[in-house]
Amino acid sequence: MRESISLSRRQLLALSGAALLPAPMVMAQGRPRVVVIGGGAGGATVARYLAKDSGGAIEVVLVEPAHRYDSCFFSNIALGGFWEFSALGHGYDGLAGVQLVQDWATGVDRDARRVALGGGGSVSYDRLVIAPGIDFVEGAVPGWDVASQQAMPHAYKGGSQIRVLKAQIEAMREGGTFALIAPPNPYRCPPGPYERASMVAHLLTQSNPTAKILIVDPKESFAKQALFEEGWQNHYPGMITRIGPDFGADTVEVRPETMELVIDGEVEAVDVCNVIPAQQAGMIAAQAGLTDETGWAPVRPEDMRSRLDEAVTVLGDAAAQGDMPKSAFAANSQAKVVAHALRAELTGGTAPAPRYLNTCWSLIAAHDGVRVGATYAPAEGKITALDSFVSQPGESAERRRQTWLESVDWYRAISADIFGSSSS
Amino acid sequence: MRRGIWGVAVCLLIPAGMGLADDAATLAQQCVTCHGAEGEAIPPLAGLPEADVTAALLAYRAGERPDALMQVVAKRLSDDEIAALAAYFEGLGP
Repeated sequence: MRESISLSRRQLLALSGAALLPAPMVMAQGRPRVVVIGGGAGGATVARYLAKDSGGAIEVVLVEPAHRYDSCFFSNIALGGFWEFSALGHGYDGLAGVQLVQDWATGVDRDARRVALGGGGSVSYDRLVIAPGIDFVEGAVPGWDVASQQAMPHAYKGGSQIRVLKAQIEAMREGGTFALIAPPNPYRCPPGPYERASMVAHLLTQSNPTAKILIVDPKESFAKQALFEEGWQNHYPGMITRIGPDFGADTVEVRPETMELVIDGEVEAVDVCNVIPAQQAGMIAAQAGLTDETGWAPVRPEDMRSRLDEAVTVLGDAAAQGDMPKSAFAANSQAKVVAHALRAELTGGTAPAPRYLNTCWSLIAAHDGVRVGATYAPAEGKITALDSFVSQPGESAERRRQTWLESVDWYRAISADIFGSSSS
Repeated sequence: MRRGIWGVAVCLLIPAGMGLADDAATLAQQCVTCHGAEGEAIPPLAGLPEADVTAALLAYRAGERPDALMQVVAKRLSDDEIAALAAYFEGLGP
């Protein structure tokens, strides 16, 4: 089915020329319409910037089922008790000029350029932007599926799951074991699972100091490893153990009913288990036929346009773009490049040369912040890292405190930049 | 192989010059991800004197002002872009 559609599209392109195809459609509908699926760091930024900078020349529709966005970024900070959960919530009222369709996008007919909605209707587009974030790979951790998420929370998509996890940690028996099943690469927020372990250790050090944390990791190594391991040694000596693939961590099985792990044939009873499964592009990207065998959506590095459909852009966590990590910062940075490219294409003009930037901050303990980041540009068919930086082991407490304060300022600034509250 | 090398060369050249649509407001969109309306560790930029922003960015780019993050950001800015950004942020002041 999909093949015959893309074949007819290719034939059409061959007849009319790629550059000519959009123009008649745009004119037929008056203002060109961009539909954005997903109101997170990528999608909301694209929608806001397109509406703001096109001065009404582009009709911008954002399809997002939630009334409120609870950010996954900084949810570890709330888990650790440094912030209230309510501080992670953002409304869509600040997206001036954006038409909000509060519904699920349930499918994309790329031939008809139409997005089907859960409520039964549909919305047509001239250009589609898909920013669905991640979904979990089914069966990635044997014994676990979404139906087990109350017993063994993932807490990796923001929202209520992180509260469930915190309540379980607080209710844990004295001297109990908190297990964290880390995901294989690539996944959202590379330092996230290790910041998570740090925040759990911070909680347990105060409330349950004889408790243990077991990280079961399918990877040989992980992001900011030297910094985390130094921090764990300094702040939480003896509390955190990590086992890697050498010890069977890549084939772990879980039993949510009995709260057990099976590692290399050995059954281990645990008290709380945070399962962060392997990930892939949010479901709608796969349903639209825009993902490849890796489960992610391949895009061009110049403008995040899908390699499989020139009318569709995929950005943020769902995109396979090259070197950028899957982060809110990266999605926001990509979104600005996308907005420039779409505005240039639909209303005329030249898009500036794409520049991308990312920084990932992590908190290891109170006032002990670390960061890693880089600048990026398209090169050799992918988004390629140019210059990078990373916090160093043994930095002064004052430097670390500054890095933590920086991350708080970043959260406030990027939230305003994504959702349009208060700032420009 | 040859195409790959040219790809890199073109990418390194483009950010150094100002494209037609590469105006200061567009460039500044990269800054506001971190520089918000308030900030303890990351200063707000709106209204800062042009000379101060220019001096800071030039010093970051030369590696003479400490901050690894701002150094890699400034390294990708040309003299013209630094001047345009500095004027833009001063112009946002009260």
